[in-house]
Amino acid sequence: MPVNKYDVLGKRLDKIEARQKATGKLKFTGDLKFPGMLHCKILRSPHAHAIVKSIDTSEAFKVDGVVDVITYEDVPKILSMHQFLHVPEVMYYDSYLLEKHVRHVGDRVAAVAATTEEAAKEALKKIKVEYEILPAAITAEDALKPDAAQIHEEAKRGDKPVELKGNVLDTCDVTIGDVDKGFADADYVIERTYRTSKPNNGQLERTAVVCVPRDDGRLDVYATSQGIHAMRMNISHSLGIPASKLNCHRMYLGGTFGAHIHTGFIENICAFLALRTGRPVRGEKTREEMFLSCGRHPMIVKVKAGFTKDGKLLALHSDVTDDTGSYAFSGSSKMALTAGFTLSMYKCPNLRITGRSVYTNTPPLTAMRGAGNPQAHWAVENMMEEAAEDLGIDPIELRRMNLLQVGDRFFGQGPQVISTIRSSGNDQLLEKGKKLIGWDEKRNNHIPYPDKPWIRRGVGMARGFHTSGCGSEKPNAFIIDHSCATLKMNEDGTAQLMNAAADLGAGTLSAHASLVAEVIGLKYEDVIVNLGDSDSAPFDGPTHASRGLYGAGQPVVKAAEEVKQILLEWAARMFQCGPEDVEIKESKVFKHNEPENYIPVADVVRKGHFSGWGAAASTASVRPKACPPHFIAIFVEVEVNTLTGQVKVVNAVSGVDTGTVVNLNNVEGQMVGGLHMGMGYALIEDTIFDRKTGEPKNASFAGFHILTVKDMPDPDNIDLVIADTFEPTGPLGAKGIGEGVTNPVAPAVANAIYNAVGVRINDLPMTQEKLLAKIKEVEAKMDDLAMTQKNVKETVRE
Amino acid sequence: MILMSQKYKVNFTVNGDQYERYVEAGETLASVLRVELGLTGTKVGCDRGDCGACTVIMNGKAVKSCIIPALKADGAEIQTIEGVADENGLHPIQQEFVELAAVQCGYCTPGLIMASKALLDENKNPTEEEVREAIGGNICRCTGYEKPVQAILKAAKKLNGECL
Repeated sequence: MPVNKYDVLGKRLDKIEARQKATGKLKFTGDLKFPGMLHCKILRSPHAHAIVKSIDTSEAFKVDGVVDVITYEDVPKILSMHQFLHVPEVMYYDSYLLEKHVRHVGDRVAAVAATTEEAAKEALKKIKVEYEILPAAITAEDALKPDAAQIHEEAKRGDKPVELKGNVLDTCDVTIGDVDKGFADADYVIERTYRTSKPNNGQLERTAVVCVPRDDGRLDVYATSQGIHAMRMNISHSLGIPASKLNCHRMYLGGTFGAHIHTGFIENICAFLALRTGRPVRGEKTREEMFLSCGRHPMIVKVKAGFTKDGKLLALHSDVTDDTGSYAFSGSSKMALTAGFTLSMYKCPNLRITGRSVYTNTPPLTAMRGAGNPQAHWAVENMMEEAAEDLGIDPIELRRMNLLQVGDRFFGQGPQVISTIRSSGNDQLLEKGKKLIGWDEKRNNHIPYPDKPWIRRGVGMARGFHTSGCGSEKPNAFIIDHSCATLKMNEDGTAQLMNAAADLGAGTLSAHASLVAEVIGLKYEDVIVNLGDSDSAPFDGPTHASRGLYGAGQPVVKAAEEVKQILLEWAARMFQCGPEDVEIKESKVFKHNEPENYIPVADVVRKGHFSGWGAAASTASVRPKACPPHFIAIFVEVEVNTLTGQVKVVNAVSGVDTGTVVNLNNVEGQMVGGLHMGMGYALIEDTIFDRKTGEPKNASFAGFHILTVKDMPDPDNIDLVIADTFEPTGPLGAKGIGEGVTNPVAPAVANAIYNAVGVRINDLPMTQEKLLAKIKEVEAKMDDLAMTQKNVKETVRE
Repeated sequence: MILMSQKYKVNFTVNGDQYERYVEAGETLASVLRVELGLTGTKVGCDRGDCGACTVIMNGKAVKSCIIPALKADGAEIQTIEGVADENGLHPIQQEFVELAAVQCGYCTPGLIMASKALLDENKNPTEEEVREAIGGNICRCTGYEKPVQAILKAAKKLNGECL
């Protein structure tokens, strides 16, 4: 553990809202109720690809309680985007609130607002729709076929129309160095194709929104959003109304993991219905609708890597085929990110990425913890393991000799976002992880139970990173990365923070409170974080890319430093000394070395405010100039039942390099949570759609399995390693953590399975069925080999 | 015969308070708690009994209120997350969930607390295996279950008067 020189940071502190959550008092979006509130339900397409030929809503209007029914004919004819992460010029505009051309099972055909949810559901049944069914393309491969049906006839990138050739919405081809020469110089070249699955974010809270018309003609929007300003931009654009007409409220979020970077249509539809009806309108997706509206992009990642015979990486080419689903929620960024992140895993002089992002007739996909990076890790960390074996080099050593080091250039979000590495805990993580998992003892020891030789154990590892935010040294033309914070002192000595970063459940707002307390010298409990809204909070981009602490925390520190300076100056006037002679600790101000003669911070604030000295307040604005990688190393030990193909993770080490630890509880929570989600990605999680009809096959928690407590290793068998590092560009030395902790888990499990049974599955998830088939295949080969050897011996004898 | 559209009278207690309500046959206990009584601490994550976020204690047993017909609650004694803390403050399970940060996003938390409370009400000294069994039907997407398991075991020790 790092040595702690802080008063507040590094400790285990209760999250500011934890008591409210543990007593059921905290109101999530779906818990809100307003007088006269209507309930919105969406009529969704039963077809993966169709044109609405006719639609008749007259019977729906007759249902008791129905106030409004809308179709594509009623909504604004504004081609819209779904997110506001990227600069407007690179965002995709490819949908309307409701569609005439529906593009996936579950796409939006009509919407009803009624006084009760039951009435709204009843009305949906009464809407008569005639569809012209079109051929559908459910996978990227099918969508890329020359005869595939065109899924979009129009889309814009920024304000420029996209020339849609088939279903490809964007491509990339970037070269750094001389890749051909790199491969020519290489002693060893490996080429592999890896495939990833389509897990659903599966956050427990479903997408919800309540839009409440105000007396001043404006609209209050309460929604499950990772960015109140982004949401305001999305709704304002799609409805064609000024941004200032909307006031988006910050809510605590029940998970999200990226699903709510984007608006999920119901927010915009409910806003539209609220303006039409003049009444509050509530919408909440069902769990099935959640499965039909978000998830991690499945990718086909082809990796070609060239090494010297001593293991030095000389050239790397990654080619990515990205299935974005029916709408480009993430634009083409996931393609660029997956490809781009493969370049940031190891030091390599010659790099190339190529890729294509493809529309399919499946639900629109979003970000999901890692934004393209779990896919990059899956490819590169499987490949490194195979390369190590072929080169005869220990896999940890191969990784160590190719690590990016402090001072190296780093591509934070693909080659457009360039940063320099200033802190690295990689060596600590590899060394400690290796020891804790028992690498040397366990690598060649596979039979734990001599009476059950069909159960085999193995250890494996994978390492990696995620960026902390998207800041680059120079402003980039790709992604918005800018945060603000306002901090003011109250007359009782409490500090009040007003900012717009979202708390997805990880404790971001509590971390901000810790930063304020640490910088000023206040007690943690003396810091209040307003939930606030877009009316009162200064601009912030959405909370994504593990930037909640690193990026949004920077203006918090800056504002706190400025407020502290004001308090010191006022206290100096009271003590009749210079501001450099006083300090603040535990909400008390005193002259150095005279803590007993203190003035409470409250008295200083009162004196200043009541004497007309000014206001102890500050608004700070920061564009982070780096996106430091938070490095991760995951080690796991698995038990594989070769009779059933079942895999159990029995031991795990999660190691993080997160810079300064702000709240130890929250860091540990991210580590084990990330491990859990990564294990699910490795072993079971996938959403399945019929390849012909596009019908969902497992759109429920009963069909889409999330690992339960029984699937996790015993808490005593999970070791957590936190590297002792300090990030010079971070708020008080902190980096991100939330996404990195998941990224290398799946390949670590894959490498452990390979160590246990000598079998490698290149397409996620590594299900029991796939594994068993592969084990049997290998066993059959072994049997054949044994038979051949036996025959040879017998022939020789004869 | 039970008709879907007709309302039927049910009596039940929630957190010690007596209620009389008229409910439809298709109405769930979760819906009555959340919509009729405004007890929104009980969360609904799936509406099909798959995730456990809606777990409440009914007649001493943990049940998934999103698949319990409200009619079945007639005469029942129900406890929800709102009734777990008393005038002396948080229940030890809640206390440990807060202190150990077993609460992350908090959406599954009420369900986890109710499922584990039903266990500890019955079995004051559960093994780790029994704790895992008790919350085996509760999905948590944030914590990886490590801290919730630790919090429940620690709360059990506290309830047994063990000095921690």
